[in-house]
Amino acid sequence: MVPEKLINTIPQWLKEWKEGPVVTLILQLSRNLKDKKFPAKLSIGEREEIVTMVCEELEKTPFWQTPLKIKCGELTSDWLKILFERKLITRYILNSPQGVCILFDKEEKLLARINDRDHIRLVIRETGNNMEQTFTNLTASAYILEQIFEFSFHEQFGYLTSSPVYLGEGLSLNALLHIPAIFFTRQTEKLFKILSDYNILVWGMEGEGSDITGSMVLIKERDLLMRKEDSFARFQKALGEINELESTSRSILMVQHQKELEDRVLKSLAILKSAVILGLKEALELLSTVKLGIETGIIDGVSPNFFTRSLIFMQPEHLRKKFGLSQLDPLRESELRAELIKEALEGEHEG
Amino acid sequence: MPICPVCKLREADTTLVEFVEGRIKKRLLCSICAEKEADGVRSIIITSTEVRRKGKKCPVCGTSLYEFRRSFLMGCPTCYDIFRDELTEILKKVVGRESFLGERPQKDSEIIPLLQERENLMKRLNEAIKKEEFEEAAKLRDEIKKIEEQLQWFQKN
Repeated sequence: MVPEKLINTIPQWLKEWKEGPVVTLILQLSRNLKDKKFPAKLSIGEREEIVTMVCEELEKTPFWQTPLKIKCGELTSDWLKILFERKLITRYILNSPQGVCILFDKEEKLLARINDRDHIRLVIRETGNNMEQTFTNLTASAYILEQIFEFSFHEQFGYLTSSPVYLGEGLSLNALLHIPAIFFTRQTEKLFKILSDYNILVWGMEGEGSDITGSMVLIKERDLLMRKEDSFARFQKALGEINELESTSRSILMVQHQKELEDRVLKSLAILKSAVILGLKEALELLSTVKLGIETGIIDGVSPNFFTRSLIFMQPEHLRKKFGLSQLDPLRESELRAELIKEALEGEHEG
Repeated sequence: MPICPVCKLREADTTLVEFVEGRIKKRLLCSICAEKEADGVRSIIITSTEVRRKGKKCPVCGTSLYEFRRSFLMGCPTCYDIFRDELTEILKKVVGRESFLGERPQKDSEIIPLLQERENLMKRLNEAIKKEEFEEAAKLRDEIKKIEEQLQWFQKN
């Protein structure tokens, strides 16, 4: 079962982000057990066997003090959607949860998905402030996993994963970015140039195939077969360049377009304060602008938590669970969203 | 089955759909010529069901070459040996590399007791902090530090 209190907490990887373009680093390590078919080709019974075996071993590791363990196959679709909105499971699991198990700590920073597309997918989420440490953590985790399990390793291709996209180290480097100034000053061309130089893919924050809204993007490095040290270094360099582009864009805004920026920020704030219905996309755009206003010092007195709070709690399934509604029509949902954001702006609630 | 008009050798079992000057042009070729003639985004290769059935298959999990090409997913470790040539070809074209540059996995039996020890100490440390036994906590913290140094040493070597 999913603990009820999950829907009332902000995941730590989001909560700890205060400002700056890199919201969260998301590092994923995929591993498959030796001489076993990949999960998609296993029967549900065989998957259950792997879950039991892997969980038993993982629970002994120093990764977690007391991990939360959720068997996705036993959940109803509304709870699966909650997990999906919190980025604990992927769309693939949302559609076929049978024989899938997830383990995570209460901060939701370290997550293991068992029988996702690969037998084990270890995901580390960390705020962008401490990249070196995050990379070291991942290396250490990979090392620990190596001591416990016997993995599929190929002389030519490295660690084998069900999708050849992760061949080599079985590694996927992602980051969630909030880069409003780049979008406001229409520097997106420069952004895409950096991304293509570093062979990085970009999507909206919902991941593969989603549209970019609210200046939030998810980027993903796709350098397979490389040494992980090299991948880290490249990714870090790319993030550094994006960071620089965002801060120069911010200074351009502050110096050359100060009035326009103020106008946009304050208007957005006013809309959020008085809106009666708010769609998800609209809310995201406004929130992002207000967040930029806070970071550039145009607005003060707004709780710094309000952005991250709203980001998690305004999602449809979270709204539905929070207000105890079995069915939610779009209009009622938008109403509740507007209400929730007003509350978050007042910043009375911490959590 | 007709013979492929390009190589005049193999059976024409594949349809190549091309967009030429805004028009759709269909040609019946063999699978090899179709791939050679295909021009990136402006053409689509349609494989007939017969070829799909005939293609290579992984003996362990039953993934066929056609299935792999379509989904770009492997079914099991053996697939990587069965479709090795095809995959190498794709990797060369897309990534410019064909083999892994990193290190082989390594095992150390010495490291596991260290990890368990660290876990034990962490638990004791948390308890000490709860009970406000700060001297004990400081000692434990030093011990944990030592173990972490050892772990780091193992990682470097």
